[in-house]
Amino acid sequence: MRILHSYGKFTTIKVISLVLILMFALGGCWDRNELSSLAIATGAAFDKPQSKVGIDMTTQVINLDTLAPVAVHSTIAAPPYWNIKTTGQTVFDCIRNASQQSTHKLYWAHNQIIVFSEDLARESGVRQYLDFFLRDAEPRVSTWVLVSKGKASDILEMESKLEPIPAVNIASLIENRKYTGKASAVDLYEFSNRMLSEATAPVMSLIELVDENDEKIPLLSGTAVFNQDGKMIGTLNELETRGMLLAIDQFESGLLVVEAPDSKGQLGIEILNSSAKIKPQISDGRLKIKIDIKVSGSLGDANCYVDVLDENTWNSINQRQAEAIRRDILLSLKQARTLKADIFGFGDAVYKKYPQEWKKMKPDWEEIFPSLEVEIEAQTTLVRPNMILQSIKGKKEG
Amino acid sequence: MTALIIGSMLGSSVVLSPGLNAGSASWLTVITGLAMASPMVWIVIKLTGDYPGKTLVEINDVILGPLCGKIFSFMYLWYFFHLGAIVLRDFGDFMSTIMRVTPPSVFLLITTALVAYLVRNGIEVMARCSLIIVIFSFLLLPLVFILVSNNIDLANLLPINSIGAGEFLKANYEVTIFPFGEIIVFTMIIKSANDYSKIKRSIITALALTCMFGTIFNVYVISGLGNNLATATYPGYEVIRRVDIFGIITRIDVVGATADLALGVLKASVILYAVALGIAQIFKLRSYTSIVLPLGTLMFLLSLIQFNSSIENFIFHERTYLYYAVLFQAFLPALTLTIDRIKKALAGRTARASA
Repeated sequence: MRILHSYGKFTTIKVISLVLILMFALGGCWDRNELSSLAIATGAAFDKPQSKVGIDMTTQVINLDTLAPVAVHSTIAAPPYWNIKTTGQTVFDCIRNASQQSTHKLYWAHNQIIVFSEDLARESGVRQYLDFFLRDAEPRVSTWVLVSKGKASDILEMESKLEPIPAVNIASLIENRKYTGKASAVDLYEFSNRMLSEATAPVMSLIELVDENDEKIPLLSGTAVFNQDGKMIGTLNELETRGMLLAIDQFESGLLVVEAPDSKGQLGIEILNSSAKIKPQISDGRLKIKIDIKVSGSLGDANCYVDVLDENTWNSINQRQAEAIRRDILLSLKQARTLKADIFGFGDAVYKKYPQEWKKMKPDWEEIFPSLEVEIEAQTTLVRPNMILQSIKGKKEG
Repeated sequence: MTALIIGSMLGSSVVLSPGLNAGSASWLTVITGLAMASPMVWIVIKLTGDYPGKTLVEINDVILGPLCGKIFSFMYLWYFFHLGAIVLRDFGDFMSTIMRVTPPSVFLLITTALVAYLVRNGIEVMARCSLIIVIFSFLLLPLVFILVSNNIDLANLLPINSIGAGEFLKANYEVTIFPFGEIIVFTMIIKSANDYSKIKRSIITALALTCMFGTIFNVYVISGLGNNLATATYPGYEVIRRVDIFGIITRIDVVGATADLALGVLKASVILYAVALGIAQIFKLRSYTSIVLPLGTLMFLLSLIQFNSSIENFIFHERTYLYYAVLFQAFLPALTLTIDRIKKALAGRTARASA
């Protein structure tokens, strides 16, 4: 107050009135949200609707009251989540209809996953379901999108082992795929980016539930491939997915299992680094795609005797690594050709390098793509054998 | 002064990102747009340079005579006033997209109040504020660039010739009109500069810096959004929304929105100042401060009632504003300058030599 006094009485009145005005202004605006009145949505699942029209949606929300005890002692019976099933004409309609069942308003900023059932994705496509998640300001574009074999709502009811919330569990699985490269990880941003592209086929991760001792355990494996209308047209298996990820430079790490040089067993090569570039070339009016890929791996394990100090063995393992990479990419290429789906973005690469020629190719790209000449150049290095130089030798070996 | 110009040039452009509809070549449009705007800038420098210490309203009186000059001045002032309302509206729309429930009028009212307060405090205060805000935004630019860098794919900048020359020119034209052409507002303000001899240099520096800022900004918007650029309502905001550093630093969009808003307040205050000063000079008021609040209120009301939706605003900008503004940004100033030159030529060789 001493400071105020030094400026005189008038200032004191001014300051007090300012505080009074601020009291109203700082109370918050119309958009304030209190945690106690929100239901935090962590996952959304879309199934084929029961009726002919409309949408069947399942939203997973966190039940904060039962979540906290789970962390301390897991004796509580109620699951820490609640799956709200709603129907509506549009996605937003479904979401707003949830307020008829839930006392808390759904809050989408922490949504982790959007799951579509395979039959829905194949029959009606996913395009009309994504608009809300892109248009609304609450959901993030980093939400993972995936397709489930079987019912999508079942995915949100799976047995969650280490993570109490199924949707969060799946989000972690998708992040974990970086250790295998056997499944794609596609977020809303990448999916819409591919949808908006003139040629690239959109993809999503593929998930299924496997029965294990009467428990439903999730398995993230492979890729769902869509056409440019957002309808699912096929799948890639694990090796094909790995090939695609290698080619489009989204491969982070994974294990290549190759035959040992003397064909006595298998070796596991863990890929440490990979970088790939798709280079279109036009020579004599013919389009050729070149995939340059550089990979380095280390010898991770061997189920037979292998002596890496032998230079020939070492080089031949490295050669097998290159072959395995070529094989995976060729497998994915073969499947892409069968599906007539440009999952690699060859079309975009052509457009960026040869925009004029692309204009002519664009209308028939679906026909041109399967017959494209593709050259794969894999440069591999095998960097280290890790902690041992020679495997344990059996009595009968060598 | 330099900062003031940068602030008002960047103002609403960081929200609406003009010129981005040229596809992957859009990053070029800011540079070429400035080149196209250079005649307008030249006119502004010539007009104010010939009549130091005078505002556009006074210059009009001198060149065109009291009556005709007043008519011209009124047209300019209407345009400035309308521009101010549009700038406010742009921000109102932007804010209500983020905060859906709060009525747009609340944002507009608060912003206008702040703008009016700034203007009442005079050009000196505005200039000092602008210095802080501009430095802040220039520091923010590399910061955001680093944060979005893991989302950026520079290949998205290719191909350069993805669209035809016609479309490219149209995108350029858009940048020329908005924001560069709006430099005409500064004909009301330049006379307040401390050192008149440096004015030409500070205009050019400001435009060059704006151009640099805009180009870098567009580069990261284009490379950060890829094909999604075509669908984003507010591309600049969208790209900041995507920032995600290991799941820790996410949703920093509020920082971007704050910088956007600060620059917008700056721009609106420059415009409101220009209108208030112009009207005060026409009616020979002793000071412009008494009409700041009424004008601000009117501007607020116009911004509120002129469009029913943000789409009407976008469509107006696209179909009408780009051609309506050129009248005030290029046609009228060019006419004034030509008349001035003809009059001087008629007045005799001596006058001509001194010009």
